Amino acid sequence: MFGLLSIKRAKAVACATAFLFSMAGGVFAEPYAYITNQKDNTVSVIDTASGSVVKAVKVGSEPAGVAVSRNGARICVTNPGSKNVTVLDGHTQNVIATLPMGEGPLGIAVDSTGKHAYVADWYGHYLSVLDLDGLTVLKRIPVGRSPSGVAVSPDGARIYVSNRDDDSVSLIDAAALEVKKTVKVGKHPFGVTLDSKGGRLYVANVESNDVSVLDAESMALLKTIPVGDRPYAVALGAGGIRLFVTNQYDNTVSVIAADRGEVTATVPVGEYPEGISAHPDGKHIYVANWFSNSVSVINSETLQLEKTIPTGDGSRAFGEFVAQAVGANSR
Amino acid sequence: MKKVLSFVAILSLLWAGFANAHGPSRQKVTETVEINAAPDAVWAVVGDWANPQKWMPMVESATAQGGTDKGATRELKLKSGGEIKEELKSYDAAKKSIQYKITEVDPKDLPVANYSSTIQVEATPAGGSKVEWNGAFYRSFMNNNPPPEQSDEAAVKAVTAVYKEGLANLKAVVEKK
Repeated sequence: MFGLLSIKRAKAVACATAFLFSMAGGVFAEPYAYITNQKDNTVSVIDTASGSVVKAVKVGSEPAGVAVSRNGARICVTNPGSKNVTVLDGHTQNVIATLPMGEGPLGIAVDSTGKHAYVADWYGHYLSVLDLDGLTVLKRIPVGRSPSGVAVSPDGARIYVSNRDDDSVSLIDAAALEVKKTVKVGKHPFGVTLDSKGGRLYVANVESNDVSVLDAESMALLKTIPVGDRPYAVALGAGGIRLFVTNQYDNTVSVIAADRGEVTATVPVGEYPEGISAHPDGKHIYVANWFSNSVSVINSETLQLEKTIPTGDGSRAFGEFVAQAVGANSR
Repeated sequence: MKKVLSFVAILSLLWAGFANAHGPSRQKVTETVEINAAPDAVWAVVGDWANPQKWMPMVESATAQGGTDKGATRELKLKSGGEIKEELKSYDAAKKSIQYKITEVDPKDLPVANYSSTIQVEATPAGGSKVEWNGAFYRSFMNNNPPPEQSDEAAVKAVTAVYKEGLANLKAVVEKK
């Protein structure tokens, strides 16, 4: 009886949540996950409710990076092979624009307003600022060598980029559009992510097999956490209490207790896991497996592998590939 | 001629300076072969980390250190005169699986960077074996717009040839026994 009641309550909450989502306007009750497939030049669109691919969208050459605006209305994909960025409409899943983008666009992030995308250029050693309304490049900000991962603070004021070949991370002032500070981290930093308050920055260091934890304002290095072999990218899940790290050479995901900064579990996934992103339900982590051509869905509470979804050839999904916060003011 | 030489010198300097850099897109190759022999017989050859010359046609000889522990190394002397240094990532005799990476290679011997590889032996329902060899690597040229001999295509082609020849020879060696 008690169990039945709680199920009813859960259903009521779910209904109310769905109602709120639909009230926000142009917002999807179930977010899609967008997986870039490097070897077949497509993006697999996963309906996270059914856990299956509903569409494969043709994009540019060797798509790698991906960023979804917070409400899922716009999806930006970097194509290092064709040196451009593809912009998709999140409603129709159709291509809106293909924009030439420097010499080697790789990492990408969209700010919380959905107005700007920031694109790291692997060969040009700069960060391109893309205006998503006008679909034009506003500025190129010189950063370190081979910039790769990009993250934006929740208030949009600070942008972070990892400079892979400089073993450093740069903090960029989004108002001035210039580098404020650059600090050394581990060897070959790649994926970066911020906590929901923008207080901590997490950086996966591919060659030193660890994660650097930084104070996101002062850029002070707080801790270095050893993880698996060739860590690629990081995502926070389970309400921000756990950090998940893909280990390319181990075919695993390291689970870190965020408060203690220690690895507490290791979850086997597919081969060469690369991109990793949290579902806004706070309960699931999605991992793109580059060699296995699939996405692993991990339950961020039980840490069990719940599902493996076949995608396209060479799934990378480097970036936040699931729509995050949903609200009337977000775009 | 002088110009060419200095260009080569600059290239090799660049190579030394950016040995760890690579292009933005990793490549992959998977090749398989079916062998009419039990998995144990296949593993006895392909799982012999210290003696790749038993089945890899391109290898003249090898010197290995560290047994089959993670981090063990081997140096392959190639028939072409070149050298490749490799490191063992994992060795699982029960699963008949071996994972290793290349730590040093000249692009003229194999135009790849950050190469890692897995060889796996499995039993087939017919009582034979299936061997899968897969590799993940970047092209050797680290900057944009590579010359044809160091392009993504060249890297994939070279690795595919090594795998095809290697697996065909492995089949011949094991089935002859």
